[in-house]
Amino acid sequence: MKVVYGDKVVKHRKFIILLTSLFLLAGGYMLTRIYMDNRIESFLPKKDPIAGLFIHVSKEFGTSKMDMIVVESLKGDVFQKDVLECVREISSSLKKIQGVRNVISIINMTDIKKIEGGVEVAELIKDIPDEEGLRKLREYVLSKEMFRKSIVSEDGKFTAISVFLSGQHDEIAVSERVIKESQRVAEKWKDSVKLYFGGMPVSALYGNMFAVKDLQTLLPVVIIFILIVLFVTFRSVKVVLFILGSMFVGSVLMFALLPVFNVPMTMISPIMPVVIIAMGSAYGIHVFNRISLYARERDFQQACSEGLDSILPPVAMAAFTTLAGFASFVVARLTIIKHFGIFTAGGIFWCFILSVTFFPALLSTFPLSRKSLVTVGERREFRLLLKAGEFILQKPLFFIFFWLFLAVGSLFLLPRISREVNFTTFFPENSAPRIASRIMEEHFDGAMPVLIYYSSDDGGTIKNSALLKKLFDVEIFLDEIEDVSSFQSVADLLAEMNYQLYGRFKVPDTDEGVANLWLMLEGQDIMEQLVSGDEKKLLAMGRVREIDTALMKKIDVRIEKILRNINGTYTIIDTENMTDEEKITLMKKHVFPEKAELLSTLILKYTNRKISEEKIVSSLNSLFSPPDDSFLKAKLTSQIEKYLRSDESVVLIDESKVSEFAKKALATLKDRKTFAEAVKEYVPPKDFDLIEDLFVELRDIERFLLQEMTVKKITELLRSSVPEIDKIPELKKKVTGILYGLTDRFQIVKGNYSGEKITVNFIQTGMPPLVNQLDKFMVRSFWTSMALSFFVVFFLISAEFRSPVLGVIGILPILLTIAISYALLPITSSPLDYMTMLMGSIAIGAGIDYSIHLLHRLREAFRETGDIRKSILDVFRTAGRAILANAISVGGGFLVLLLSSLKPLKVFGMLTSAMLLLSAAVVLGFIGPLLMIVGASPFIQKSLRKGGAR
Amino acid sequence: MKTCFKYLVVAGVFSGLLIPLSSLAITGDEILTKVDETFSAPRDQEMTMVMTLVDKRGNKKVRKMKVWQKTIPGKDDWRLIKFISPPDVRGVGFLVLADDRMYLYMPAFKKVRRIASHTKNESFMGSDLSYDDMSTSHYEKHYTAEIVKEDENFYYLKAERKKGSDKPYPTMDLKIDKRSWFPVEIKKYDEGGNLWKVFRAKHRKIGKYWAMVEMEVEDVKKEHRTLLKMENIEFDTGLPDKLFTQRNLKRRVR
Repeated sequence: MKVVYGDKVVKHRKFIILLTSLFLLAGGYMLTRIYMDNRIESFLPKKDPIAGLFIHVSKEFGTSKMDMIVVESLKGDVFQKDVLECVREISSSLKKIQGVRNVISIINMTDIKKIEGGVEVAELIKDIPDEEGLRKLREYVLSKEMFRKSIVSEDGKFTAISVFLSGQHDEIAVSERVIKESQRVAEKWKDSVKLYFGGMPVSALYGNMFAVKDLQTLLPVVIIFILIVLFVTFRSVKVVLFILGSMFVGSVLMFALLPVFNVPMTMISPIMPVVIIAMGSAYGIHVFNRISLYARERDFQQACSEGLDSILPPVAMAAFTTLAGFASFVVARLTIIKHFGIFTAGGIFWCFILSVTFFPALLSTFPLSRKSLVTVGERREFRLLLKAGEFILQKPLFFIFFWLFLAVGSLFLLPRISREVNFTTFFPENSAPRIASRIMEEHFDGAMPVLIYYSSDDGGTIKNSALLKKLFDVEIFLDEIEDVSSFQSVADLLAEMNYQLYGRFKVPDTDEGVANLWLMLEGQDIMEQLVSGDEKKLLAMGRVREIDTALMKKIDVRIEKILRNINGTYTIIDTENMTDEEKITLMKKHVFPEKAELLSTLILKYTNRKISEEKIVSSLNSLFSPPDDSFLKAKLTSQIEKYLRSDESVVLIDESKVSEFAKKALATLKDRKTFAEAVKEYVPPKDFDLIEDLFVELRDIERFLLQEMTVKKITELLRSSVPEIDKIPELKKKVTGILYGLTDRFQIVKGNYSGEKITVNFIQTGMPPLVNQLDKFMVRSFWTSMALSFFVVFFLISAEFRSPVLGVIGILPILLTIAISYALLPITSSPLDYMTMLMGSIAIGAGIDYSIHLLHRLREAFRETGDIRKSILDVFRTAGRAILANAISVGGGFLVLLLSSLKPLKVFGMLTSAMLLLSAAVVLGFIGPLLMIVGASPFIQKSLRKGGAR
Repeated sequence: MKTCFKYLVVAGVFSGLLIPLSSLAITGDEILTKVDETFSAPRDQEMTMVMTLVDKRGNKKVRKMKVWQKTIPGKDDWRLIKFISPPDVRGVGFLVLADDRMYLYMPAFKKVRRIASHTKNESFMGSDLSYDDMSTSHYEKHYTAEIVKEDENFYYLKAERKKGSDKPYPTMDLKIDKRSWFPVEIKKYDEGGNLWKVFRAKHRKIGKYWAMVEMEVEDVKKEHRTLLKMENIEFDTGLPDKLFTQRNLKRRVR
């Protein structure tokens, strides 16, 4: 036999050992530079527009960089002195941590409330009050929608602290410090409070912690498992250590490549060494088996050389087909999967290289005694398989149909596979992040952000009344979506400020009004989260209560629909100089239907009752009935008098002449000039220049009164359909806000009409679109990688056997295995996720080995016997045993994943083990009967005779 | 040699006496009183203030306002502020008669509203000055100070908040100009002892009073800066009480 490769390995064995040791040292050094990243946005490619927008918005507004701490009171509700003290202490301690930008809690939350003649802006709790004060505080806080479920749970048992992180620091490291510091502070009140931590950075942190924990648990267990399997098989410590050593070096080198290519470890990384060691050890086993076989009749060194040469092609074939299965993930668009596939393929490659270099080099350097040479095929367990083979071949059609029936039946189950891409659901049910997540779902508005983003395309400012009015409308529609919290934006804050100052919960009608109120909001911490520094971009923030993928996708679709309806070009129509007829047409055609939709949405949200939009429109039509003139006049006179007597009056009028003045003013209020002439005699000469101001003020009082009366009238009409309106203050506040909008001078109408135009283009970002995109990419990655690996393995088998027919026969059992295996997902109520989607590639990688092994052995046997039945039985006797042994040992290796802390890893381990056994069973139980049926065909027999001999 | 030694002894004794004498000359608390007196020396003042806000990305916002201020002995000063530009906030006015008596006027709504802000840390109109920073100094009332260092031109003080005071800064470092008793730099710290804000001021004598003409306030935590430039400063013009009324708050800035 001409020895080429094996000779070289034996000759340069010391150099190979030295080189491998140097590689190991370098790899070991690189391991120290490994880092982790489990931020969900990092799972998508950097250039993906959805991930890109989310990252951009996060950087600009710091929205995804928020930790949430939930404080549970162990003594009744949170309105207890010690609980509030604890919250205060935690808040002030966290503010001192570098990387924490702001902390908002029940203590320092800004509260805007009405006071006599104005508003009071204050921290919610300045000093912790006495018992009576605490009772009142509880009542007040729980009565306000802006606090309920956002800062305090409805039952008052939990309170949330929002910790905003600055973008300049590593958010995961800062979150870790936030957790530790909070726990340290809370220790003093351990009998009164319990803390829970959530938010995106915290989830990523827990992801890192679970990955490290899993790696620490799984790696030693899989090593021990393989050690036992190898020892039972070979009964030689040396062989066991050599094979395992090779796998260990392979794993180190695989992990070492991560920092070289600046790729982080993720939650699915703990699978990698398990896969590599479990699957890669087979190559060493094959090599040793062949060397042992040769060593019976030869000198050990010669056996090493010749054995290596003879085993190299099938081992290489097995390695490259497995590698192809994993490398097919290179087409995956999910970074987390792509990296897993590439680096696991890299690990398989290392294991193969080491199995045919380092391992034989070790064997030839430290030879084994003849008595310790045991080949796998020597044992006697094959009898059972031979009997099984005979049984199967008696009813080949039955078995073919059995597998086909199973596979077709499974196809019907495939559409029932659910999907999960949000890794927060991966944590164990009773783990800290899941408990925190449940509390945030049940008692708060959740911790996962959903955002509406707007960027001014033309570089204009966002301090635009029309734009903010549309944003306000969007939020009303969004607030109606179940499982999404109330949104917060600068439009809300302006509306709230407007309400507190002037009694109207709406965005001001003019840009000047917006700018005036905006001035009051500047410098508030919340503004940094809602408006960009250059005032060209804005954000509306909401939170999603539930975290599962299906719900997120539903929310994403719903929000997209709302935005599609709203986005577009609007015309700002000034109604000031319109005739009544023009106004009526405008309102009936454009404004009423739109406002009716908003009102109907609001009423549905607060009362669970659907009031038809037509009914609302008919109520709105009463807007055009003129008010009772005498009543209006009397009311207006009294208001003008009140104004003139107040400190606010721009001109001081003699008290005795106020009534007279008011009458004259009222009579002339239609015309500026007549007014000036009429009132001049009451105004001191030094204030003559203020008459113009006075006219504007009085006109404003008139307009304000008319608006009040109109809104009152429509509210009255609505009350007949919605009697609850007075019992639900928030509903009344919002409904009247919309009704005041009807009296605005500037009406915003969708479409191109005469007037100033504005283009509204709100974009959704945050968790729902991110999750939807991850889901789409996961499914696409699954199919594309699967198709690619099928194509590659089909090509490899066809090339190996020089027959496309055998190529088809080879991949058929894998197709069946995959169909049946994935049907196990809905049966076991497990979703398709980052882990379970990998099963397909493992099925291909392992299954193709079994097919090749079987076909290879079949071809040999057929050449020897020329009888297809005998050949198949021989396959059962020889290759069948090896296939089954491999499926049991590798499958057992995957069972180690049952010890993982993450549920999907457990499911993955269990199903992959089952799938490997199934793969072995299908390869034997389907190819055998199939060849029994079609093997008589001269075409197949010709194919089996073709190809190079081994 | 002996004579030389005697001189040295005499010089030593004198210098030994001089050190305690110089420290007895003025205390930190007295310096604070001097600072307060400097600030409240004019009976009234009016000026145009240009406020430039600079965020961490370098975005700038410029606002111009007219300020009238009247010293009320023993009480909080009265202050009337009216925005001149940008145009969309022209006419917005603030009337501060006491910590808890502030009035706001917005021309877009044409109504005066009372604002009570108990959050002294709240930013004044998006600037790095809080309402507390804007209010009359009264350092001596709220702080006790020690001289940390002294050189030819400046006193360096460490001020600590007095018990019971509601000022938001527990400690401050002040650099006081010896000539004018004006603080040229103040470093304000938060409850955790971390540097929070740095105030740097330039001042000059206008008539018989020292006046601040430029100030830079940096919020270290927010990485945000506010630059103030005071122009057309006039003192003791005899501002009438009726200037500080709601009625006048509504009147247009001329």
